[in-house]
Amino acid sequence: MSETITIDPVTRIEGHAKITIQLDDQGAVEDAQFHVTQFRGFEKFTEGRRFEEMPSITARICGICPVSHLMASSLAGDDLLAVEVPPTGMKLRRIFNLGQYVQSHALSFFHLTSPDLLLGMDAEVAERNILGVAAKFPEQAREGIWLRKFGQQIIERLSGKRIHPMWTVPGGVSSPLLAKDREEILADIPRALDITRKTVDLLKSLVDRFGAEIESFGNFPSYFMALVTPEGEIEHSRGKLRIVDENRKIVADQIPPQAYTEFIGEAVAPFSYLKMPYFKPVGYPEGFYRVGPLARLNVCDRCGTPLADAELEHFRDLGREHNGAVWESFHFHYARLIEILYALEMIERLLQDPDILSPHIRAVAAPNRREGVGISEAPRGTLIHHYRIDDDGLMTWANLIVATGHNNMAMNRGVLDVARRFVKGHDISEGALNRVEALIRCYDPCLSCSTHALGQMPMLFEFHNPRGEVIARRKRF
Amino acid sequence: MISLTPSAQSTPILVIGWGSELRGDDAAGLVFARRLEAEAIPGVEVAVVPQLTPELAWDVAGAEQVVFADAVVPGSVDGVGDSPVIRPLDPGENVPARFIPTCVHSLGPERVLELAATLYGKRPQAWVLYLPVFDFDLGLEISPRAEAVVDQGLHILHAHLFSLHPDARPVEPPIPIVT
Repeated sequence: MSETITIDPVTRIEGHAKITIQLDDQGAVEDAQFHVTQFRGFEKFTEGRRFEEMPSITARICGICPVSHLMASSLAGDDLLAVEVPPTGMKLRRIFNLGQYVQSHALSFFHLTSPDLLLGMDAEVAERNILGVAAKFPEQAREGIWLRKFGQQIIERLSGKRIHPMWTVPGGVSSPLLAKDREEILADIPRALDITRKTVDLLKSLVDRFGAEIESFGNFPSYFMALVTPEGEIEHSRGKLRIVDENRKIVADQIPPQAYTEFIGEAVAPFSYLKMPYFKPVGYPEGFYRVGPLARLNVCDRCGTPLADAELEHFRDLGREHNGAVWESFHFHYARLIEILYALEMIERLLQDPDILSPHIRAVAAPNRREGVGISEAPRGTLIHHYRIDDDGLMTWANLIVATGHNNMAMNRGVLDVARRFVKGHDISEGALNRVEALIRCYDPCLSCSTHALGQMPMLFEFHNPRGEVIARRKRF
Repeated sequence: MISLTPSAQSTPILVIGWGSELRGDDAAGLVFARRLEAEAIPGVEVAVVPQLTPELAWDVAGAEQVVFADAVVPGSVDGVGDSPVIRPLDPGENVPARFIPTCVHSLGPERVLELAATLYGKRPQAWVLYLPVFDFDLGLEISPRAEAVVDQGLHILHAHLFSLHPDARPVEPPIPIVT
C-alpha cells in the first residue's frame, strides 16, 4: 500500500506551509509537494487606495523585509509619475536596500541556517535553533546579532525607523542623509566586513560535512533570473532583468520592467495559493527558474566590488561543470554571504560619494501614467510590483510577484528530490524531516509575503497513500 | 559605533510592543507601544516591532527592567479575560504555551530573555502585559474596543512604572472597558 507524508508547517521560515509526501506501496517516495495554505489576497485589499500609500501599505506585508516592498513600490510609483529620481535620491535608496540585505541575510544565515551547519542536521530538534547555537557557539551568535543590528541601524539612520520605515516614496526619498549618520555607518563597516569574512571562512570549513545535502538539495538545471546593470553587474535596487539558462547562457537580457509580462507567465496549481511563475518563451512547467542570491550570482558577469568579486571566482568554481552556473541550492547560503560582502563594500563606496549629502533627493510630479511597474531585488529574489490607477490616482488593480513565488516550482522540485533521498517510509526520522525543511530554508522563503499570509511558520508533514488517504502526520513547532 | 555587547543597564526600562499591522487588533501591542513612545517618559525606552527576533536580546540585556506588550485572545492565557493584565515573567516560570517559539524568527519573551542571559550574561526583571482583543480580520486599524484596551493598558503600565519608580509621574486609576 503506498502512502503520503505531509510536513506542515516548515519551521524557521515565515508564513505557513505544509509538505505532503506521497509514498508508494513499498514505502518509497513517489511524489512530494510544497503547499502554501494561507491566503491574504493583498492585491484586492489595496484597490481604492491612493498609489502614494502603496509603499507604506505593502511594507507591512513583512516584518523582516519591509524595505524590499518599499523599493519595488516606490519604483512603480516613479513609473506612474514618469519621473527620473535625482542621483542622490537613487544612491540613498541603494544604501537603504543594501542595509536591508545585510540584516536579512544575517538573519537567514546566523539565525536560521547556522543551527543546521554548526549543530548538524541530525542534532536534537529541541537544540537545533538559535538558542542551541548561542549555548554552544556564543561568539558566532553574538556576531550574527551584531551584523543584523548593523543592517537595521543603517535603515534606521536613513529613515528614522527600523521597522516599516516610510522613507522611500514615488520620486525619491523623503529626507537627506545627515553627515553624522554617514560617519556612524562608515565607522562600523570594518567590523561588519571582518565578521562577514570570518563567516565565509567558517562556511567553507564546514561544507565538506554536507556532501549528501549539497548533492541532493535542489541540484538540478533551471533558468535563473535577476536584475543587472547595463554592464552586466549585480544590481539590487533598479536595473533590468536578465535570464540565463542552466549553463549561464543569456537567453533574455536588459528586459525593462514594463515588459516583464512578455517573458514571465503565471500558472496556478491546485495545491497552493502561491502562483507558479515561468519563463514564457519556454512555457509551463519547463520554463521554471530560480531567483535570489544563487540566481543573482549565476546571472551577473561580476559584482563590481573587490572582496565580493574575489569570492565570486570561488563561487564560479562550484559550477565549473555547467560553465559556471551553480545548480546546488545548498550554495544559496554561500551566495548570501557573498552578497553581504558586496552590500558592505557598496554601502561604503556610496557613502563616500561626494554628492551623498545633497538635499536634491526627490522629483515631485502628479501621475503621468495610468500603469506603472517597479522591479527590485529583495534579499530573497526578484520582487515585482505592477499597478494600475484611475484619473484620481486611486489603485484599480495590482499584481505582486514576490521572490518566493518565482522559486515556487524550484522548491517543489527540490522537496521531491530531498524526500526521495532521505525519506524512507512514514516512520521518518527527525534528521530526514529537517533535511526536507532545510531545503526550503535554502530559499529563505517569506511565505507571509508570497501568499500574503499571516501568522507564524509551523510545519505539517502529511503522509498519503496512493488513494490520497492521510496515513500519518508530523507537526513541527 | 555599535558595541558587540550592550552596555550594562544602559536603559532603565525597556517596553517592547509587537504585532501585525495588517490584522486588525493584532496590532494592539504596536499601538500601545507607539502611544507610550509619544509620552517620552524619562528612563523609558520603547521598541515597536512586528515580532520578537533574536537581536532584541541585545537591547534586553542592556535594560534593568523589561515589559513585553502583546495582543492576546481572551481566555487563551490562564487568568486573562477581557481586561489587560500585567504579570511578572520569572526565570524558570512555566510560561504559557503560546510563548513557546514556533520558529526562531519569532521568539517568545522568555526566549529573548534566555538569549540575553546566554549571550550577554544579563537577565533583567521582566513582565508581560497582556492586551485582550477580539477582531483579527484584515485591516489597518484596531477596533474601538481594542482602543479601549490599549488605553487601559497604558494606565496599568503607568501604575506599574510608578510602583517601580515612585518618582515617576502619578497615575490615574484604570478606565473600565465599556462593551
